[in-house]
This record gives sequence, structure tokens and C-alpha cells, in this order.
Amino acid sequence: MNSIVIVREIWDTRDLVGDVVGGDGELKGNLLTRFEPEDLNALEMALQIKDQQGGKVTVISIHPSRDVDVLREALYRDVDEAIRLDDPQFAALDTLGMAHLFSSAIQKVGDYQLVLTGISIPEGENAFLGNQIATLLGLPHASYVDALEGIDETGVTCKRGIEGGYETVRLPLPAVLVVGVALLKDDPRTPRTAKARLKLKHRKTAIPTWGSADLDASHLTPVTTLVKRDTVPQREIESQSIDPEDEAALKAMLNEWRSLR
Amino acid sequence: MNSAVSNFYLDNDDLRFHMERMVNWEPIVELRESIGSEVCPYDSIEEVIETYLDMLADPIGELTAERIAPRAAEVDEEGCKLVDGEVILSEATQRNLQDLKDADLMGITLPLQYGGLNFPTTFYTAATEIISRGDASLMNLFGLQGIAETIYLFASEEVKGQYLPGFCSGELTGAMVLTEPDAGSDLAAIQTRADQTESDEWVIRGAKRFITNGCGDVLLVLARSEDPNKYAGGRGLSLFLVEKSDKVQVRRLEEKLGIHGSPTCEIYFDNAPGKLIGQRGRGLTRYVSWLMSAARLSVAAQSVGICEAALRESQRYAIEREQFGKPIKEFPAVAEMLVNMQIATEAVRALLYEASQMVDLSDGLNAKITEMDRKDPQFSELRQRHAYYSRISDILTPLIKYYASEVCKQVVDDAIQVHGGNGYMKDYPVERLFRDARITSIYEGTSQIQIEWAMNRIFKGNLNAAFEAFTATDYEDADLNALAMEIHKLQDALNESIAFASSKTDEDGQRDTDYRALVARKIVDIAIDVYVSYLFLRQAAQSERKRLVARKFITEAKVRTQMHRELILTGERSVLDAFEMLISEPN
Repeated sequence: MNSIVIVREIWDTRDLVGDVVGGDGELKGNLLTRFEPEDLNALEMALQIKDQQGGKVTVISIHPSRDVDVLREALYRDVDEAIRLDDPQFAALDTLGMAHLFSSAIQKVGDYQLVLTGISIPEGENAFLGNQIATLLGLPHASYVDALEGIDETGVTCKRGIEGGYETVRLPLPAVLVVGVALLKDDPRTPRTAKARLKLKHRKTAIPTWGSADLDASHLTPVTTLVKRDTVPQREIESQSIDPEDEAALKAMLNEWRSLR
Repeated sequence: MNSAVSNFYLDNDDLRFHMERMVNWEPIVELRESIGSEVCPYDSIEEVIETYLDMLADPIGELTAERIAPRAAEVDEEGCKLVDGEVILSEATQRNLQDLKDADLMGITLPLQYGGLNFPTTFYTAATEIISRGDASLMNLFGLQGIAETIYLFASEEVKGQYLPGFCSGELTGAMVLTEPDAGSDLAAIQTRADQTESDEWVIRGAKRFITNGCGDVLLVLARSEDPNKYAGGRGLSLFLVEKSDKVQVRRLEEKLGIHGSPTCEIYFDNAPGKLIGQRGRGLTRYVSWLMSAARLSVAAQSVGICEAALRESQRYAIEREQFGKPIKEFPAVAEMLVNMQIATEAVRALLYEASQMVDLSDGLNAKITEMDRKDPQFSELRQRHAYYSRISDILTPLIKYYASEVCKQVVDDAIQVHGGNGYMKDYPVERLFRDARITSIYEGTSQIQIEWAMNRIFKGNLNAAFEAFTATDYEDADLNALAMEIHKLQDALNESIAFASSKTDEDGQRDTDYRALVARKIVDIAIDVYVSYLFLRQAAQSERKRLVARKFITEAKVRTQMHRELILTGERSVLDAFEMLISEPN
């Protein structure tokens, strides 16, 4: 069972305070990057399939690495092949352009049963990339996939999050799965760490780069362009502590809530 | 590494300060890696150090924070079980071991050729600290890598080839099988027999108790192989490798106060076949002695890990818990406890990594001179360097085992105190930490045994070489040089105390060795205060915050030292002279 996983390096915007996005959409300050957490979940899902059934895992990413080389991190977790898409022409792609490029790369890798990616934070957790890749490749897809319930040559059964609960769906293979926030395994819930010996082995492993000459580069002009970005001012909330034993204070708190409503 | 998740290395500023700024990795790496050779996977020393630091973050720091620590309460609650002679580890411990295995962390110090990482003891010690912070009981399984290292150092090539790959992959686990019902601290009293059959095979017969992971696949067993009439005591003991089989019966699993994830077994060897490791008669004096030293460093690292966990729980609680309208950390009495816990943890960490570096240098030089031609022009110099580091590591190992475990008990005790009534309840992790900590000053040699070992070496002058290096340092800073002068005074008090205790005679004019043993703890405490003061001073040269820490520690060390010195110089020996009277009922 061969899988291809799309992995991305994203800005680490956790714990940021204040005005961090300029009017031109550029992030201000000395930001670091991180492995897109849901992509890491997708990678874990692919590696678990490999653990159980064998096969090959290929990871594809786009752009040069800044702080965290997600492709090398994937090699440290025992993927079989890592490919970087990089070309000056890829600099200003929108999500659809990226989907075209990734689809082309996936076809070039070939011989796969599953394509996995995470619901990306930068695209508003809308699972656009995975869905668009599926459309371009003409494959069935499921998004917000939290767990695989079974996979064999006839298809994949997965549990996906929907409003108010879950639904279990079955898709024929090959298919595209957009993986959600948790793998919902009993334990461990978190993706695996690096393997020490693979870190020694792959510190300098050359990672092949595919540019516009290697791929279908006919959709590189962005359809959607960024006009501007505005941040929503953060709400300032004053916290209060109430002694649970103090009945008068508790009543005062309830009254305050009522008045706010 | 994956910065999206919590990490017990990256979130620990003091440990990072040690690893990234205080540990002098270069000479350790030079001895460990043959940079430039075909077998060496690195191109430069910097690359090796970078790899060490990277590995501490991921997999070790990340794995511990994300998987091991969240399972600690479950491990503690479930514990181990003995079912039909088979030991069953808690499910969470089994997952922990699988994760350590998957991350290739079961052969950290062993050479690459066997599937290990060939990392130094200092790295392994830091890994042990981090893992122990997540789950103290897991250290007892992770820390068993010394078993494989003993095999690597002392067994035949055949035995190494047969077992070491299994240890590195995590397929095999081991145990150090020493203690018997009547041979605990006094291992020379061991009765378990090793006899040779007519076909020259060894068979082991006897009972052992308090054996950590006695259910392991490969047991290193200390047994009496020689005729007691010819070779009595420790000289008659040899070390044997015994594989798990139906001739090795786990008869009982101890129910312990803490470290519930670690199975403590009573084992009976019913003529179990064994393989001799190394030479006959050197089991205790050479091999187990090495193994115990390694284990002591691991227990010290475990203690520091528990300190760190307790400290963080207490700091968090003292910020969140409000009484009389403000967080309890704002009350001076609580603030003092928190600061004392913090500085005590930093103090033991400073001495821990000083000790581990000395062990690395001593072991590395030993390996080098062992394989070197004696006529090599460098031989003599390297042998001298080895003697120097070996003397210091020989004393620092018992010192840090004693110091870290005693501080650990104090820190977890304070942690409960900061939590008040809540700390006494199982709802908060400090209750578990308190129970887990208690064993650290008992196993792998009690504090009293460590003091005795350290004391003998202090009297032989093992510390002098280390102190000379410190006293010769010019910190090029008036404040730090002034603090150095203060430490010199502590050192004078140490020398005065040693001189008094070693020259004191009893009523018959004989050397009063009992008095020396009586005041040993006080002398050892002064020695530790001197050493740690110097280490803090060295740190102060690197960090403004550490200046404050050094000043506070040295100020208090002066008072402690003065008290110990005065008590020693009184010559008061009523514990020895009037023991029966002092412990009897009032009359």
C-alpha cells in the first residue's frame, strides 16, 4: 500500500500578540516556522499503514526550508522518498496553483493508492489543497479524516469529523484523504518522533528537487491574489477569581453574568 | 524537530544552559569519534555536538513530553503484575518501551556497529534526566543500558556479537542481578553458587532479591565461583550472563512505595546455564564495580529529573493557588521554598554534569590507552591524563549519587509543602513524585555507603586536583574573584576538618577511625559545597542570573560549612561512647 503525503512548513504563529501582520500581508517580526501539525498527523497515518501492511511512503513539499525542514523530518521518521518542489516561478502560487503543481508531482511519482495531507491552518482549515488535488486527479476524497478503520486493495474506510459527531465513509482506491486534528487512537494520540539512527543516516541525504521543467507548469499564474490583510483586535478580558466557598461572591458573579446577557 | 509540540529539553533553560554552554564537549568528542575516518559519520566536532543537542530535543525531549509524561499516572496506578511466573508490565510502560525502541534510544552509548548511537555518558545522563522527569520509574528500564555496556566492555567478541544488537534494537532487556537476602550493601557476602559441570559449562544456583527487571531476557548475575576457603569474600565472585529460561524463576514481585512501573523481582536460579563474563574472580572487584558506578550516575540523573518535575509542579501551583487574596508564591515563606528548590536543583545538575564529563574523559582515555602501543610517544601523557580524570570521576560518582538523591528527597518534600493539603492527595502529581523519590538514596548503594566511598577518596586527596584547577582560575571580574576568595575559605575549613578527623586518636592513642566515620557526612557535605560553589562560579562567568545564584549559594554554603566544621572540631562522640544510653528508655 503506497502513500504520498503532502507536508508543509508553516509560520509558527502561536502565542503571538499585538499587530503581527502588515497591511501588505507580510508577517512582521522574527517568526520561526514549524511542521504543519495536521500534515504531521497525515504523515503518521501513512507511516502506520506502512508499519502494518508494508509499502512505500513518499513525501512532497514545496519551497526551500526556512527553520524546520519538513522533508528531512519526514526522512527521520522513516519515509522512503522525499521530494521538494522548488523553482523561482513557484514563489507566488495560490492554493489552486499549488494543487496543480502537487497533482503533477503526484502523477510523476505514480504507483500510489493514497494521497494524504492535513487540513492546513494557513488555508483557514478548509482542506482546500487536498480537495483540489483530488478534483484535479479525478479521485474520490474525504476531508476531516480523524482515523482509518480499515484499508485493503478494495478501498479505505475512515472516520471523519462532521458537525456534532462523526461519520464513517468508505472510498475506493486510489483516494485522497485530508487528515484532521487528531488521529483518535486510544494512545498515543501524538505523531511519532524522529528515530535517532535515521537522524544520523539522513542528516545529509540529498533531497531531489523538481522544478518547472519537471512538472506541468501551466497553472503558475495565481488566479486569486492577495489585496490586503487585516487583523482582528484581540479582546481584552479581565479575569476574576472567586472563592468557591464565598456564597455572596458567587451570587454577585451570577448577577454580573445576568446583566451582561 | 517538531516545534509544534511540548518538549522537555527545549523548555528546560538550565539543562540547555549546561548542554549548550557549560559542557566542554570537544575533548569528549575527540576521544569518542575518529573524525575524518571512514567509519565516522561526522565531518567535524561541531557537527557531532550539534547532533547531540538536536537529539536531546528530538526524539528525547519531545517523546518524553508528548508520550511518556502523560502516561506516568497510569503507570503508577497500574504497576506490574506477576501472573503464573510471568511479569506483566503496565500497558503504559509497554508503550513507553515500544516508543523508546522505535526512536532507537535503547543503545545510546554502544558503538554503531552493534546498532547503537555511540554517544557519550554525558548525553546519556541528560537523556536519563529528561526521561525521569517524565516518568521516574521508566528510568529503571531505560537506565539498564549499563548492562549492555558492561557486556561491551568486558565480554568476549562472540558474546558481544550475540547480544548487543538485540539490546540496541530494544528486542532484549537486561538486569543486574546482585542483591541477595543476606547480601545487600555487603555484596562480598553473596552465596549464590556458580559451578562448572563435567563439560565445563557453568550453572548458577541460588536466590536473588530486589532485582530491577529481574524478568529481563539477559541477566548479569554475580555468583560465587571459587572455593570460599581459598578465595573468600569478593575475590571469589565472578560475573555470569544468564538467559531467561524455565530455570530462572521469578518467585515474587515486590510491592513498593514508589516507581511502580519498574518490576522488582525475587528470582531463583535452578542450575541455570551461565556464560562467564571476563575473568574468574573479578566479578565484583572489576565488572560490577564499573556497572555500579554507571548505575549510580543514572540514579543521580533520575533524582535531578524528579527534582525538575517537582519544581515545575510547585511553581505552577504557587502561581495558580490564591490564599488571602493573592497567589501563594507572593508569601515570603513560600517564595523561599520555591527559590531553594530551584537552586538546589541547579546545584545537583551542575555537579551531575561535572561528574558525567569526568566519567567520559576517564573512560575515553582508558579506551584510548588500552588500544595504544606503550611505545607511542603520546602514551605516557594520555596515561597521566587518564589517571587525573579517573581520580576525579571516582570521587564525583559517589558524591553526586549521595547529593542528588538527598536533595531530591528534600525537593519533593518541599513540593508537597507548597501544595499544602492538596499535595498529600493523589489528585496532584507531587504525591507520586514524593513516593518515587524515596528510593533514590537507597538503591545502587545507600547514601551512607556513598559517603563511605567518597570519604575514603577525599582522604586520599582525589579532590585536590580538581580544586587546584579552580583555584588557579582568574575570573577577570572583581565580584567573581571576591566570591572565589570566599570559596577558598570553605576549602580551608574542609582541609581543617579532614586534618582533625584523620589525626584524632582514641583513648588508647590509636587512630580514631570510628570518629572519622561518624563525621564523614559532615565532611562530605563541606566537600560538595566547595565543589558546587566553584561550579556556580564558573557558571556565573557565563550568565548574569547565575551570578545571583552563585552569590546566594555561596553565602549559605559558608554558614553550613562553619556549622559542620565547628561540630567536627568539637570531637563530640557520644553516639559512639554512649549509644546504648542515648537510645534506651528514659530512667
